[in-house]
Amino acid sequence: MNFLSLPFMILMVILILFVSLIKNKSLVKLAFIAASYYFYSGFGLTALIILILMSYFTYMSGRIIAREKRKKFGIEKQLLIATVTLQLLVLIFFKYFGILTMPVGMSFYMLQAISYLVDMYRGDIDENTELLDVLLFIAFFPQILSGPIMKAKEFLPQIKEHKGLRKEEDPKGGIDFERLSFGIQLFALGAFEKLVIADRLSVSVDSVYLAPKAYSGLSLLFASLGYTLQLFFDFAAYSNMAVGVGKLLGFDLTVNFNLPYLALNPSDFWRRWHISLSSWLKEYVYIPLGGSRKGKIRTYVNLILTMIVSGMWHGSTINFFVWGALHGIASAINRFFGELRKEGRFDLHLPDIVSRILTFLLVSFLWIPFRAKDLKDTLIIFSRIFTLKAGINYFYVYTWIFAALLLLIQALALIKNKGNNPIRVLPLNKFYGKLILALLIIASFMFAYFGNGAFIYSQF
Amino acid sequence: MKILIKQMLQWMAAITAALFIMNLFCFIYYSPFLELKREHGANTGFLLPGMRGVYGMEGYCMAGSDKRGYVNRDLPLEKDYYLVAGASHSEGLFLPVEDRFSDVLNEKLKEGEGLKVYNIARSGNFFSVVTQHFDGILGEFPDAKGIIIETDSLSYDTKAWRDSMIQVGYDEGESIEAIMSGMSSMDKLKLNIKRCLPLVRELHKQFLTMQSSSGELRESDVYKGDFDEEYKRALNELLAFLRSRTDKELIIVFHPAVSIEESGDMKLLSTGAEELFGEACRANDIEFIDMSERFLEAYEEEHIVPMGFSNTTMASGHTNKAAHRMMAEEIYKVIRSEKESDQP
Repeated sequence: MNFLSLPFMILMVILILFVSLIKNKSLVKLAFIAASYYFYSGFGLTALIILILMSYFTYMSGRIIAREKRKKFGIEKQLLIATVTLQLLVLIFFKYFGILTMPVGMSFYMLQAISYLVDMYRGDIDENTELLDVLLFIAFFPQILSGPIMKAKEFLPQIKEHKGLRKEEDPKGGIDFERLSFGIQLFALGAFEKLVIADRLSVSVDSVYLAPKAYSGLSLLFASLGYTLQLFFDFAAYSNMAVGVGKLLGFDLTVNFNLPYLALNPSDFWRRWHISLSSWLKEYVYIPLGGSRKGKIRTYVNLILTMIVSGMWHGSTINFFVWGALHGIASAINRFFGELRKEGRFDLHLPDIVSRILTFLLVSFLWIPFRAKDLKDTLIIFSRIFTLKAGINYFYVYTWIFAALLLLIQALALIKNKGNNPIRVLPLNKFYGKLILALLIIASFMFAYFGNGAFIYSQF
Repeated sequence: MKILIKQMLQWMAAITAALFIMNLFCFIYYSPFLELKREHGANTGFLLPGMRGVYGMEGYCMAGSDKRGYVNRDLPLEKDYYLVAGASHSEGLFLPVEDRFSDVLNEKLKEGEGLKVYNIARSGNFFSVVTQHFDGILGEFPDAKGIIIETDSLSYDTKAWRDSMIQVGYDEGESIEAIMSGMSSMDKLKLNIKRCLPLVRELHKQFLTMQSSSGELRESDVYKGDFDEEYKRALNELLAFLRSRTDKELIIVFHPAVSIEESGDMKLLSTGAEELFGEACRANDIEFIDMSERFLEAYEEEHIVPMGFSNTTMASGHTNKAAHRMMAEEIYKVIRSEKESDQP
């Protein structure tokens, strides 16, 4: 089932009505779980069975870890390591061995499952968490395909205190129109980003990356810019829609993006791009590896290792490893110079605008191995770009248009909001708010590119 | 209650205003010609005369229809004129009008030779439709010196070649004047409303695109049978039939679709019927222009791809400016040589 389909809209209407009318929390939870499994069953019965089994395994493991914690000489740590390893092995089996098709969204829900176990071990969540809560946390349909990746300690309390669409300060009733309006707007914005921008950009990016040898160096450079935009808008679209749907159902999912192409340096980029994954990696990989507590060299190594994990989480090919490693090295170099500057041993300070442009260029170039079919194609693309090889000249008009649009938003962010997302919730009680929303919805259909509906990140 | 009514009214006003704004935008993005369908004539339908069509989804074209209901710059039909018949490639509603091969040809032919080219192409009028309307063309344009038929496909089976001989003919009662004068006030009002609301047609087109998963509709599937004696006979029957209807110059221009391969080469998506088709044309005194080699040369020497635009993908969709220019040059060569051979 696709977010932008009639069955999904019907499902949403039914759920919103149900959540608004039914006060019994268990019933609401059951409805969410049923809806999530119904949504997910569209990707195959086997995938659904694996999801349910993994969820139940996670729940039971959590209970055992909690029980062991209560004992004086418990083996909770060993249990945690064993269960997390087992989960990782399942993920690796599907992702790397290619014997069976990996269930959609597995990379995302497995991270959530691991977060549940670690949070249980750390005592960050209630050890008596109910089975229904765990099932819902792992399978919650708005984010199961591509995140945002929620941590157990952030999501489980929301299930417990769930108020649906009612105002928080008014538990007796009263629809929270602000939440409703915000949810609808985020969903509409996501639909626009996906249908109009990302899918349209994919037209040119896919064709160029399919046959890079045919295109001129400049065209490849331009297509790489196109991919930089496409990936952002595609993933931001999904995240916006997921957060919007979450809002409509009474949940606050993590906001995943904050104008990442305005980042000042590689570390700043990861604070703005796929925020939920970066935050997950920081908490469950970087910090357990020792973070920055074990000396400078170890910090750099930890940064690189964390980014390699990130790369390998994205995909099984060598390209993702290279992409992750290069990002890790870039972050380590950035940290190295940052520390030198702190110690007063390095004085060069680039103007912010130059730093932002350099970071953008670095990130854009690193998307090339991320997108290319294999390492051979990656090298072909880089060599054609840097030698300005002749070939088909193809400069896609929409890349210009959407680059200009993003530039405009980023300029607004710099001027009005210190480089943070400048887009605000429209006041739907005012005429202009209604007009802008109506224009956005009509434009989404009018300029939609139909033919490439899959979200990029759902394949990871 | 008062607030609710006010909000409802505001929503209605906002939606109306948004639709109005988008409708205005359509006049520079997508405002297609209105078509007046007919059965008996040179093609399957006239364009509403004097209308401006705007097409921005693939390439960009802003063109006007002439008073005869064709997509021309209202050229007078001089004595020695050629007709261009074909489908969307010839109609060229994705290029500036002056870049279409018929118009490039016109420019070339202006240079002292007194010839003109008149474009009667219409989207969906593939080769078999053009041949079925062949008598219609002759009836509607009896003075034409020659007929140029453009096609991107020669992929037909024997039945299709034979069916292409079934003629729809020409009916004076379906001339543009007759159709326009036979229209009721209500019909005219409906047309004018449609003309003013391109957004409705844009949204309708989007809806159809959303529903269809198969992409562009083609007249026939690619022919997968043998090119045996029966096939040759059917092909020859059709071309002999066309030749028998008139002694005007007949030129068939074939331009294959192409694809870009992973290796970086450009591949012609030909079916293998081109050679047979060329032989049959020669046997029936019909000029056959096959653009295959010219397209390949242009790609190998200058990386020029004959299809695709800067707002779509390369090597897909319709023929672009470069292809139209190449086609015009090849047709021009043929016309010139015929002109020279006509001279005493």
